Amino acid sequence: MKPILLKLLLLLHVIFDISFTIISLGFYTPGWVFNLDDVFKTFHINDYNYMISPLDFVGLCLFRQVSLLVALIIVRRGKAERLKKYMTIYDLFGILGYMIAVVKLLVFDETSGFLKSPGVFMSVGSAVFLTFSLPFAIRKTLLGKKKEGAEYERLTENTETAANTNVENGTASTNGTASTATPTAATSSTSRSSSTDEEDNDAVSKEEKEKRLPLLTHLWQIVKLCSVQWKWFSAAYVLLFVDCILNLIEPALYSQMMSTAIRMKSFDVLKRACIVLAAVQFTEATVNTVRYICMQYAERLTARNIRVSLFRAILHQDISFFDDNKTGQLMSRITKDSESISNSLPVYIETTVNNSFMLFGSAPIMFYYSWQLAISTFVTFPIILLTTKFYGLIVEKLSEKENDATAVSNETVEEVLSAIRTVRSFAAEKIENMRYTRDTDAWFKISTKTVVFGTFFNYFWATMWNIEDVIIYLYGGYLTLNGRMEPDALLTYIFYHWRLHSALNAFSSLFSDVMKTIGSSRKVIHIMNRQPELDYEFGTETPEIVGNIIFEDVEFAYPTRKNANVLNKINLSIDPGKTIALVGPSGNGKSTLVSLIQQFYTPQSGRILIDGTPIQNIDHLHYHTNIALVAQEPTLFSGTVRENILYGLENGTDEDMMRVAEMANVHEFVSKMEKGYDTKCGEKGVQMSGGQKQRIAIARALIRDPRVLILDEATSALDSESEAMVQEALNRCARERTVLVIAHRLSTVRSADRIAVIEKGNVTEMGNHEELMKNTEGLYYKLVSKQLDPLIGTKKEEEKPPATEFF
Amino acid sequence: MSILSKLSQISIKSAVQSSKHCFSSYPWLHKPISRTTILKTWRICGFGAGLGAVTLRKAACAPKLSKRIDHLRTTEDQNASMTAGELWNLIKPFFGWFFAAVVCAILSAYINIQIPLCLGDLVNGIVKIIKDESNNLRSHFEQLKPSALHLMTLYVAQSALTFLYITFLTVLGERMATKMRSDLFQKLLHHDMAFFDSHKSGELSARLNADVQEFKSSFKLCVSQGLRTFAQTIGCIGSLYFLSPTMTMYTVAVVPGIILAGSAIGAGLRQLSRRAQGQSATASAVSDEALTNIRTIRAFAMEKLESRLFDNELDKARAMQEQLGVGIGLFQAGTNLFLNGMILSVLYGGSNLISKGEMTPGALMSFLVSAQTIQRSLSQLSIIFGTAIKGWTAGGRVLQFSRLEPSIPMDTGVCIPYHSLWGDIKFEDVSFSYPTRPGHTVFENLTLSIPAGQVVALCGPSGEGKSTITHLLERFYEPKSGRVTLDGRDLRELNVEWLRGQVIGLISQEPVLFATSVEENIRYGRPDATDEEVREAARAAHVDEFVSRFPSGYSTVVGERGAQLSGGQKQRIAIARAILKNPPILILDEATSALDSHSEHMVQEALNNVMKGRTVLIIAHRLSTIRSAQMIYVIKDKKALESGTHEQLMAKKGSLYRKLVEAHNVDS
Repeated sequence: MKPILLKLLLLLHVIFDISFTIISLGFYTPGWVFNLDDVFKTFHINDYNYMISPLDFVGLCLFRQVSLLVALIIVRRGKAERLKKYMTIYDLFGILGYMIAVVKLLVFDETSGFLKSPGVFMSVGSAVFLTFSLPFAIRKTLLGKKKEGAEYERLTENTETAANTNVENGTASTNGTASTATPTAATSSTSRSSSTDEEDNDAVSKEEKEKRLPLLTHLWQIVKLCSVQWKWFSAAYVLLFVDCILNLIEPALYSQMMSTAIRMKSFDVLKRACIVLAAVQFTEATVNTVRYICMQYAERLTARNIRVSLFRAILHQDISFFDDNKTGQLMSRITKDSESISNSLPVYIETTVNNSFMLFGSAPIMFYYSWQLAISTFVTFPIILLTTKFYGLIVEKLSEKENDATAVSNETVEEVLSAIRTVRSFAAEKIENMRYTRDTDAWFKISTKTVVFGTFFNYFWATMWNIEDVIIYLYGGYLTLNGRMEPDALLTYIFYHWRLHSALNAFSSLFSDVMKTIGSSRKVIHIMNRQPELDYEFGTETPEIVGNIIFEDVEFAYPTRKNANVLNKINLSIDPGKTIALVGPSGNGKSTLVSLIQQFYTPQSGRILIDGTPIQNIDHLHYHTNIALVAQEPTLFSGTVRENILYGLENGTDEDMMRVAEMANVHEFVSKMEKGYDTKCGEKGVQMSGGQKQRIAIARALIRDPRVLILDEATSALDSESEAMVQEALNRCARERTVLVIAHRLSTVRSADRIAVIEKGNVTEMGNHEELMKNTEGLYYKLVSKQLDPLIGTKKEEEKPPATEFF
Repeated sequence: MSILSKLSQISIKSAVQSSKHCFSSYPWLHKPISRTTILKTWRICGFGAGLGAVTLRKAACAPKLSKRIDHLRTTEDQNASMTAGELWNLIKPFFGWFFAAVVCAILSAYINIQIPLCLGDLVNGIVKIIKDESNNLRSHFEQLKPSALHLMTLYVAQSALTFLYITFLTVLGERMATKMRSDLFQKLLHHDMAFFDSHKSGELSARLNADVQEFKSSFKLCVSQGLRTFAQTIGCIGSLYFLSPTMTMYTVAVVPGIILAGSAIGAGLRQLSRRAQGQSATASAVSDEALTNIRTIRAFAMEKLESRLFDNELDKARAMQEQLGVGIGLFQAGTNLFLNGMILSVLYGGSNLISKGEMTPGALMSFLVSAQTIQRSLSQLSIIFGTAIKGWTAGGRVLQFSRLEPSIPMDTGVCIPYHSLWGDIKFEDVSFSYPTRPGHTVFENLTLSIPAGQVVALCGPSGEGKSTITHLLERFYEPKSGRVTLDGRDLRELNVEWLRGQVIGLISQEPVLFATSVEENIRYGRPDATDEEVREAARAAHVDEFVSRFPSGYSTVVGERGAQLSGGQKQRIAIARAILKNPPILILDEATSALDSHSEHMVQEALNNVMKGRTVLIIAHRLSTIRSAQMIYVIKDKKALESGTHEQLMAKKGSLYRKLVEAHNVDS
């Protein structure tokens, strides 16, 4: 049913178009009297006079029908896609028709009394309406869905019937044929010229389709971010409204003063006008100041909130997010991109309100003073709007590229400066400088292109508007000369025209800035909307943790290497209160088990339970208070030793710190330092040796008194003596805890209650030291033998009996 | 209790003495002090002590935020200001663009001045139409046309010139910013290691990006708007004088006062701007460190704490920015109010003159438009002033680091020709302490020798300075006294870039990998190496073993700082990198500490092959690594306490080395 209905609507559109155009020709005499003779008179070509003849509207009507016919033919041949590319041409035709109709109205005004005929308004109104509705109708009916061939044939027949009706009139047949031929030729030439623009039109249409809905959704997100400070913004906008009203009054006051001066009226009138103007200006300045302060305050609050929300959103992401995103890029988002949101949108709204008020306030006033001049002013609007739309899409794309380039160069800086020791030890400063220069050059090119393109658009806009200024002066002078406009009215009109000029200039700048903001903020909004695959706020349970950890058929691959399974359906049980050691070759998944226990990642399949509860159900803070990790490369912050040990503890005391510092053997070296526990560790602890860092990290873990302690190569950087002392302390702590140890040193591993050998993502051996040593074919035996090998060699080499006896 | 007792006794003594002194004056005090009085005194003292104790306790228990970033606040930007000479040095390389922009801006301003005069002609024409009652109307209209056409010509020319000078300024600004960033980055790379010990990379990034951006934006705005504004102001004042000398004198007389007031406010705003930007950098440092160490934060469940820290710093930055905004707002408002008053007086006076016949309506129109141009120009000037303040501060912050000169220059010094290079290293009476901790002496008169072509091992307790020897050898720092020599030459005479780039290869205990592929990380050792050479080094370090199991092979990206590889894998890549570099001197600082026994055994064999013919310095705790060295030094108590071969040190009774080895054996 629907396709037939749409077809019927299109047919009605055609009938209405033709009939209304012809009927309106009969009303070109004062009063609502239909005059058939006027209709016939219009078609006398010899008597055509541009100043009084409405034949132009008939031409426009014929042009529209031919355009529609061409569209029908194209669709019937199954080339609807090509027609979509031509729709821009149809839009241009619409604008052209609009301009012709409006100018025609001004021309009719030149004939005295002609505007009293209703036919004039009927013709102009229908021409404007129908010219714009044609592209709309074509889009809705012909491009919406595929149509059956039979339907097209029927519609074509109806069109031909209408043409035949014209022929029956006899006197119009020759004229009709001549008029039809010309538009057809024009259409053909236009079609040929448009083929060269296919690519551009195609690109534009694709962009429009891809970004339309996301654009609106995107803007709404930005609005919501800024609307948190609605009170301050509302105050600013109320004051802005007052400011707008005062601005609208000023041009009239200026004009009044000028008129008074010109006519040399009494001086008292002049003084009164000056006083009023002074009052208005003073009020405006006051309102403007208060509004500015409110706006600034709201912007700063919004900026703060956006940064905080973004930082919190980033902290919320799972670890795999940080595998993909570099720190430098995230820094760029928090600082530069988020600032563009808070600084931009409130100003855009302010500019929009301000200049909309000037536009819709000035326009009626201008029409009041001179509708002829007002029509002249607005005649070129559609062209400007179409150009602006095209320009905005390009700016958005360039803006996004520019921000991406900035993030890339930030990434380089961050990485190089963070790893400056490695860069320096390889004397790679020149290479890094070249890399940064290349990244910055890429940003430079995009940035320059953006600005030049924007500047050229402003130039085009300013030139168009300046030409219009001159037309206003000429036409206004002409009207005044002919006595059809008061000189005072002309002065007032010019003042309002300037205000309108400023408002529209602001709009054009505003549009490109809005598109830049959209481009800049896409990444920020994306991060804020990203839902982490592993949300650390998911769990809510707070069970008492005893320390029984179970892996059930766990499979895992890192998100950045999805095809390489690190763990293959591993099964492992860790008894509470026991010490278990994981050993095996490097890169076989030992540290991955720790990452999974820490909930840095989610396994592809299987479960991880602690005391029977899946770990993802446990409250985040509660979980990590009871499970502590000392990693093989512990990260220290740049504060003091004291601050690093007490990290995150709000109730930590010096007694607690000293207790764990002694246990971890930290006290031994800290007491030798000049500032003791107030010694700074340097960024990432670079001013501490590896062994010192590990001991501080151990102390930091112990101070929380965790139920489960994970030591991932925690003592690999300690010398034998220090390690023995720390190991003894850890052994004492281990009595009440579950301890998971990953190490390569025999001295660390052998004292464990159980040892699991991890190889290729699975447990291949399990038992204590003595049990595993009996299996001479096992991997554990081989690893231990290699470590004992030097001592065996030493024994063999010794020749002195006392030495041999000693060993 | 003891305090309470003492306080009570003091009170009692005071009361008794007071009583004695007043004996003769007040006879009614002859009564002895009653027991009740003593008890009351005790209670009062006890109450006071208790109150004090409660107060102190509450103060001690006040909730604290983490002090992780307190030390950032002690730093102040004392040199955050730019001189005119430095600004000129930035512009000089691009003077052609600058000159072109200036010329176009001045021409544009000149045309802007002409426009009001043409408007005046138009208005005069309109007024003539109003007054003229004759029938000669068409001639008046014809007179209107030339003025209108002239005006249109001026409009088009002005637009074209505006386009040109903005384009020129864009090129100038962008190129200046690019050069500033490049120069600053290069300067940063040259700084001492001590510089990086005391400056956070987040703050350095902010200087490199945000501050350069601020400076560039300010510069472009000041030149484009400021230059045109200045030219228009001067030109319009000339026009005003031509139109009406009397009114011009009145108008211009008031301007100097405004300028002086503006300057006074500007000084305060400048200081405020500097503080605001410093605080923003602090906030960036907080988020930077948090994001860099996300794994530790996640492991300790400290996300909320970090958010709170960031909130705090951002709030401070926001407050400062708000003050600055209010200050600028008031400044602009005052300026606008004054300028609007000026326009008003122009209208009032001008209309008065017209009524007296001393001025034509067209002249008033021209005067009005010119005065409005001045108003707009001066309004923009106030905005430009605020922007200039920010730009000047930002430029100063960028140049602050550029002005610093490293104490260890990297591009001077001599190079020892390859055929003369033996690799004989000596530490001669070296004393050293880190610049950030001058009170803690690491070495005192350290003397040791690393002969050419030999393997020397360093061992000893953690934190005794073994890695510091490496830093001195690489010239990351300079000794306080004594010297380090290579083949008899003081390191201070040698070219640092050559020393690090070609002579010394370092594998540290925590190798830093970059966020690129395995292959590129290995190639970092020698950028011009071929694929085959990279593969060969990888096989030698047993990197091929695990890389071949990755789906992407050598193209696998290792993540930021190699976060996606295990410690052992990272160390092997670092070893491969050093092998590819092929330096005469090799330093292994705990290079195999993260390897399992089997891997270590294989890598050790590879290293043994690599070490042949080189000078090798080994720092390790593992006996299996140390015992094969030809010379072992035990570092403790700020010097080399013991030295000798494994056998010699083991034979020595009571030696520290023997104790370390025995501890190892017992554990085994």
